[in-house]
Amino acid sequence: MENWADTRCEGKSCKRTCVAACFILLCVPQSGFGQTAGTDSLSAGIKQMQTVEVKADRKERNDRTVSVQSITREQIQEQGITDLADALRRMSGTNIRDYGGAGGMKTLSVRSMGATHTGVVYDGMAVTDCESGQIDLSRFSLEQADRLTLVVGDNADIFVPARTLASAATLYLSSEAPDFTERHNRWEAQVTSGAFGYVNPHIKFEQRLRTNWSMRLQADYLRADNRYPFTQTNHTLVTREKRANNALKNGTAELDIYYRPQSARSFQGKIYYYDSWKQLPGQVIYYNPVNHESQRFRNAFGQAHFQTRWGSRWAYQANLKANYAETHYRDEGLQYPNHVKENIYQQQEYYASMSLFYTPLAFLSFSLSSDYAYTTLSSDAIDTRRPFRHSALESVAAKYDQGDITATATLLVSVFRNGAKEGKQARDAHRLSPSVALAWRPGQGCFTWRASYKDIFRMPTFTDNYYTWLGNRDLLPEIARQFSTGLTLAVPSSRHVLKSLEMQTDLYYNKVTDKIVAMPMNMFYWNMVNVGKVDIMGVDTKVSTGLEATKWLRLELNANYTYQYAVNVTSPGGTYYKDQIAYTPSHSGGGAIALLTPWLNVSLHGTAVSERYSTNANMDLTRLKPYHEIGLAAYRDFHWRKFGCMLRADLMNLTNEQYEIVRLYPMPGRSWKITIKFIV
Amino acid sequence: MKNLKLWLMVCAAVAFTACDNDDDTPMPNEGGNTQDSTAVASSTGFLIQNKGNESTGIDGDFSWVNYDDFTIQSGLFASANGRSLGQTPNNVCIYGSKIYTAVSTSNTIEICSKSNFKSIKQISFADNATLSQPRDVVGYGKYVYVSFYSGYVCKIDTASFEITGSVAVGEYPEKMAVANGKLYVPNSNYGTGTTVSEIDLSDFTKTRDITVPTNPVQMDADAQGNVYMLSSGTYDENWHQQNAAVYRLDLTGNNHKKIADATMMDIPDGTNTLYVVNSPYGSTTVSYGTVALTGGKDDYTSLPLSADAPAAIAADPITGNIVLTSYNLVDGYASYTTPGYANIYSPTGNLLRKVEAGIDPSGIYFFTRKAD
Repeated sequence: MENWADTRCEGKSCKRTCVAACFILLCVPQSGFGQTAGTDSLSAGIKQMQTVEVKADRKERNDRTVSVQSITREQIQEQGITDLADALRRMSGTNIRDYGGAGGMKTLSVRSMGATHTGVVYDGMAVTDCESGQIDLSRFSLEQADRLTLVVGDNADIFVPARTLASAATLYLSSEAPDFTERHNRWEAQVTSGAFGYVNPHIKFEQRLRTNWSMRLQADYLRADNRYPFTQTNHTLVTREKRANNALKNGTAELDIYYRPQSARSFQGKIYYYDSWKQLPGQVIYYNPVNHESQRFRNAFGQAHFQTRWGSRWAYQANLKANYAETHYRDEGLQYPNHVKENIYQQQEYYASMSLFYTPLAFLSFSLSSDYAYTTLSSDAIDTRRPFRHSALESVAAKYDQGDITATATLLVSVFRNGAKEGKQARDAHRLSPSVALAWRPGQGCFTWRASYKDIFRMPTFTDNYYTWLGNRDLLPEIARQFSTGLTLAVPSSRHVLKSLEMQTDLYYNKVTDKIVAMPMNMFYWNMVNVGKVDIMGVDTKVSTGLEATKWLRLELNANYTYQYAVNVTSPGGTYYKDQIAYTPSHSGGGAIALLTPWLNVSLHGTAVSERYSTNANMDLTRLKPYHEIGLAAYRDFHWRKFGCMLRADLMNLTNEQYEIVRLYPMPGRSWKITIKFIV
Repeated sequence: MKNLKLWLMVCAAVAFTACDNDDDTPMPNEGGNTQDSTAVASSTGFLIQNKGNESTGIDGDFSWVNYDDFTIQSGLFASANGRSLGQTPNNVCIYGSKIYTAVSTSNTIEICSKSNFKSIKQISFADNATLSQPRDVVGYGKYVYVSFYSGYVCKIDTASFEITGSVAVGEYPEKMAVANGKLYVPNSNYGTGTTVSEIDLSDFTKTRDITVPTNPVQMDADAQGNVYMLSSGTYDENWHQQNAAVYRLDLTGNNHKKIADATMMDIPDGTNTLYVVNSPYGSTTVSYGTVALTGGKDDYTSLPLSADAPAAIAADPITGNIVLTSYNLVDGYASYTTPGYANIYSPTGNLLRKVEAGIDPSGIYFFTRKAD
C-alpha cells in the first residue's frame, strides 16, 4: 500500500555499460543490487530515506511476477492526461466504456474479461457495488490519487486482504501519507474551467497533528452542462445536433488520518462522502431528442487500516470498512403512471479483514488472510425484499523471493451465502481459486521474464439475481481463467541522452465461462444476455522512454498497443460462432510525446481504436467505425519562496473527430480546459 | 408514373414469366389486374415490419415479400427517403394508398406511399403535452386513429393529416380494432389492466369501459362484427406466463367467452377465422392452430407449423396463406439483435418458403385488393 519511488530500474549499482547493450543483448549482470539504500546521503532524514529505498526495491520486486502498469501524478501531468479514463486509455489491455461528456459513466474492462472482473481498490480497500458489480470511474478525480496502478492477476505482495485477490484485474488508486520532512502543513487549491460549462474547484489541506500523526482533508466539486455539439448521420440526412439533458454536479469530501511512527506500526483512517446528481442524456434517438432521465447517487464510507510488526518475522494487519450507497433514478414521461418513474437502490456493506504474515527465512514468506463482508440491498426495482449476502474469503499464500527468482502461490477460498427478508433468494456459491506466478530476472539485469496463472470468478450481482424481470436467482458465478506470460525490459538511467527506457509485453490467453454479459440500454438499465463462453487471446505492449537532449530539454515518449482476439465460442457451428464479442476492438493503442523545458512543458497525445460491433454478432448493421482522438496539453510550474503555482491548458479532440464508444452515445468534439493551481 | 403502371400491367399479364430483373419485380401496388374492369380480389405479397433493436442502434424498416417469386426486398423506407424510419416502429396501418406507421421511440407517425414508400408526411409528438409514444394505427372512414402509450387515442384526417381530436382512454393502450362503427382500445396498464375502452367513431367520444380479463393487449374483429380480445395473462412467482388467451367479448353483459389459449392472434380482415400461436413465457411447448368463428362451436384445429421462436402470425385474407415470422436462436436464446425469418405456409400448413427477414420481424401486413 505504500507508494514510494516509481518502479523503473534505477538502482545505482547498474552501470552505464548497460545502456547500448540492452537494446540487443541481455544486460551484463550487476552485483550488489538492493544494497545501496542511501549510503551516500548525509541528510537528516537518512533513516527514512533508507526505509524508502529499501521499500522501493521491494515494491519493484513485488511488481515483476505479473503485468503491472503504474502512473504517478508527475507522469499524469507530463503525458497530458486529463482525467482517470484518459489515464487508463494510455495503459495497455484496457477497454473503457465511456458514455460521453464530463461525469458520464465510465467503466473499465481489462483484457476483455468485462468490467465486473475489474476490482477497484481505493487506499487499500476495495470499492464495491453489489447492485451492478461495476464501479463508475467518473466519480474519481485524478487529484484524489498520487498513483494509479493496474495489476492483472496477483502481484507478489502477498500481505494483502483476501478481497484484493478476488478480482481478475485490480485498479489501485492510492495516496501517499503527507510528507512533513520540510513543513508542518500544506495547502493546495486548484480550479479547472473548460468547455460546455465545466467548472471544477478542488482543495486539499494537509496538516501535521502531533508526532507521527497527520491528516489530509480534501474537497472536490464539479459541475458541467455537457451540451456539446455532435454530427448525426441518418442515412443521407446529416445534421448537426446538441447533446441535451446532460448536466451534472457532484462533490466529494474526504478526511484521512495517518499514524506513521518510525516503528513498523501504522494506521490509516478515512471518511469519505460523495454526492452526485446527473442528468442522463440517453441514446440519441432519431427525431426524438428529448430525454428526461436523471440520477442521484450518494456514497459514504469509513475505512480503517492498522498494521504492525512483531520482531523480524511476524506482521499483522487489520482492515475495517462500512459503506453506504444510495441511487435514486428518475424518468419523466407521459406514458408512466403519474407521468414519472422512480427507482431507489440502497446498499450497505460491512467488511472486516485480518491478515497474518510470517517470514521464517529471508527468502520465504507466508500469509494468511481472512475477510468477511455482509452486504444488503433494498430497492423497489427488485422483486425480493432486502436480499443480503454473507461473503467469507480466506486466502493462504506463499512467496519465494531470492536472487533472480520471485515466485508466489495463492489459494483463495470463497464462500457465499445468500438470503432475503422475503421472497426467493439467489443460490449459494463456494469456490476455490488458485493462482501462481513466477518472475525470473537473470543476473538481476534489465530483463525480467514472467509467467502466471489465475483462476478467479465473479459472483452474480444483485441486479443479475433480483432485478424485476431480468433477475435470475439461479445464476452461476462467472469464471475467468488467465494464462499469461510476459517480458519487461528496464534500462537503468544514465548520464547519456537516454535517461530511461522501459518496455513490457504480455501475451495471454483467457477463458471466460458462464459469462453474464450486459448490453446497455442506457446508463442504468441493462439488457442481459448470457453468452456462455468467451475465448480471449491478446498481446499488451507498453513502451516508455525518457531522453535528455540537453540540460534544458527533456523528451518523454509513451506508447501502448493492445491486440485482442476475444470471441464468442458458446455455440460451435452457430452462425456467429467466433465473432468478436461486443465493444471489443481488435486493435487499440495510444501514445504521448512530452517536451519538457524549464519554460514550458508540452504534450501531444492520442489514442486510436479499430472497428468494433455493438453486438456479439458482427454485422454491418452494428459496426462502429474506427476512431482516433488527438489532444494537446501545455503547462508550467512557477515557484516563489514557499509558494508554488501551476498553469495548464488542454485542448482535447483537436481534429474534432465525431465518434462514439457506446452505440448512440456520441462523444464530444473539440474542447478545451484550463487549470490553475496554487500550493502553499 | 403512368408508364410504370402500364409496364407492370404488361408484366403481370404475361403471368410471371419475364419478371426476373429488379425493375420487373412487382412492387407493393394495388395488384395486377387494374386493366380488367371487373376487378378481382387479389393479393400481391406482404410487408414485414422489422422493429430493429434500440439498445444496439438498429433502426426499424420494412421488408417486402412478393408472392411471385418470394424474393424479399429490405430497408424500403430508408432506400426511398434517404433517412431512417425511426426507432421501434410499432404497428402499421395500410389504408387507402398510404402506409401509416406508429414509431414509438422516435415519437413520430410516418405516412408514406404504399407503392414506393416515399414519405408524404412525418408527424412528430416531441412537443405534445398529452400525446406521446404512438403505438397502433387503425383506419376507418376518412380518418385514421392512433393509440398512444400516454393513454390517449387521437384522430387524424387522411386528407390533411391534421390531428382533429383526441380522447383519453386507460393506461398503456395497445393494438386496437374497429367493429360496427366503434373503436375498441385495450388498456394493458403495464400488464395489470382490466378494461377495454369503447369509442363511438360517429362523434369520437368514449362511450364506456368494458371490464375484461387481466392484461388485454390486442383487439380484433371478425366479418360478423364480433369483437375479440387477446389477453397476455399474468405471471406467477417464477415468471411463468399463465392464462394468456383469446376471448370473444360479450358487448351486452360481461360474459366473455374464452376461445383458445394463445399468446398471439390474428383474424384476417373480413374473415371469420382466427389464427393463434400459444407459446407462453416459461413453457417449452408451442402450439399453432386455427378456430372457425362461425357456427357457434369455435372448434380448434391444430396447424402443423413450426418455428424456433415465433414473433408474429398472420394469414392472407384473400389467399389464406399463413405467414409465421420467427426469431433465430443464437446461443440457445431468441435473438433480438440478429435477423429473423418468415415461414410462408399454404392455408393447410404446408411450408411454401422460408425467407430471411430483418431484426425483430414482429409485424406482418398483407397488400390486398378487395373485389369491387
